[in-house]
Amino acid sequence: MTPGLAYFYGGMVNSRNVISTMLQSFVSMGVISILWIVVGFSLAFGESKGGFIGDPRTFFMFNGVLDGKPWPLAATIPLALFAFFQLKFAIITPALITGSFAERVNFKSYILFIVLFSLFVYSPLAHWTWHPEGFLFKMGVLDFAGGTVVHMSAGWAALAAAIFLKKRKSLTENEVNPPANIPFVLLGTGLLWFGWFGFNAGSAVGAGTLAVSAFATTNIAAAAAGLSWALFDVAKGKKLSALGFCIGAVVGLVAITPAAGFVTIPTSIFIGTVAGIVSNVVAHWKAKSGRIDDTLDVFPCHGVGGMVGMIMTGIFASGAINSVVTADGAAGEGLAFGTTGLFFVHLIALAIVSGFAFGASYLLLVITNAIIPMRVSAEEERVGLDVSQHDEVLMEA
Amino acid sequence: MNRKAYVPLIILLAVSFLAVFMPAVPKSIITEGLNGGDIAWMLTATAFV
Repeated sequence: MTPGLAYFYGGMVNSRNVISTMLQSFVSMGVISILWIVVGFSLAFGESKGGFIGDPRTFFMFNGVLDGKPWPLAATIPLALFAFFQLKFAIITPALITGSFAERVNFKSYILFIVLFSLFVYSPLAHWTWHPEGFLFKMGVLDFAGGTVVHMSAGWAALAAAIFLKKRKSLTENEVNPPANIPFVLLGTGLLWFGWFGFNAGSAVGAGTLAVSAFATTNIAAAAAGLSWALFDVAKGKKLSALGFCIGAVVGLVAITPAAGFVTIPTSIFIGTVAGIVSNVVAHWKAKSGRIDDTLDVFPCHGVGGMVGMIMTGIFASGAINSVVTADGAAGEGLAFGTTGLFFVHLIALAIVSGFAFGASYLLLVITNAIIPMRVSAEEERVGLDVSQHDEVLMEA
Repeated sequence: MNRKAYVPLIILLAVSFLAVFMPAVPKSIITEGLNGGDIAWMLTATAFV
């Protein structure tokens, strides 16, 4: 998925920033992989400290992972495999943020930021939501594959980053910067769509009917959202664009992520359709207001898409699809089944996660900026990050 | 020469040396209760993501 994200974002930025934008995703695979082995997995899934964070000593340097007991919620696979599946989520989350500060971020400061983000935002959120002792888990929050942990956290961090780094020079000077390569966006969308089957159906942590159900809802939600975004554009008088369909499909994938293993397959049509329209409206409103320069609409897609998914899970989660929904200690089925508990738990979780992800990310941006300035100079921005940060060009003239 | 430029490399080297002294050698591999089909699917899913 992460290379797919590189193509998705790389195709949307202007031609002077393609390599840097793509490399931001790839370098996340390098940095977060090492960090996860050293301490990241422990912070997320180590022995719980009050439901807020894992003990960093539990699996320090992956000690006890290869010979550890299987994770309680993934009893039929080795702990090491569970740890590596989770690593892939930890990698893509900071990479998702890169779309918000594209075309103006200092690459070195970006690396420092993703280290801090992974340690102090991602790992705690994963612990709260997916560790059996995590406080959101105990509240009964249902997040099948990362609607809160991955997408809402990335979306809110992206909004914080867009506000903190302020607008691109090209935007303030009304310069036209067309996307560098639309086929890259199509290729990236295809890779993301394909990879998302592992993301969501893999979150069943077994080869059973739940994985099949999650696989199906994932595909259908992406299809519905791609169509709803594109057709909403057409209804507003725009042409049906490749960019619109691709962004819509990704929004659908985001929105179904928390719900994939809890809702019926037809319900995923509704979730995808609503998410596509809501995110389209937010992205359009943001562009029209012109106050926040979230370069590639990360907040409307991942933040808003993730929140829509959380709310939809609170409405449509069914015990017939996944017995976890009605197990002892669970918050019960969704609003559509006549119970309100899960819906209100999700609203509370949504507020907590949003506040924490935005506030903590903003603080980390301030700290990072104090160590290494996050924004490149005006001249570096003008020549583009490919040359100014890497001495590389997309194509020789 | 910019000394600060060495900091990330030094951190990576430190982690590399730490890995040599903390190799996490397993005492015994647990296989009881594991399912080959689930493992195959999860390896595939992990590669997808």
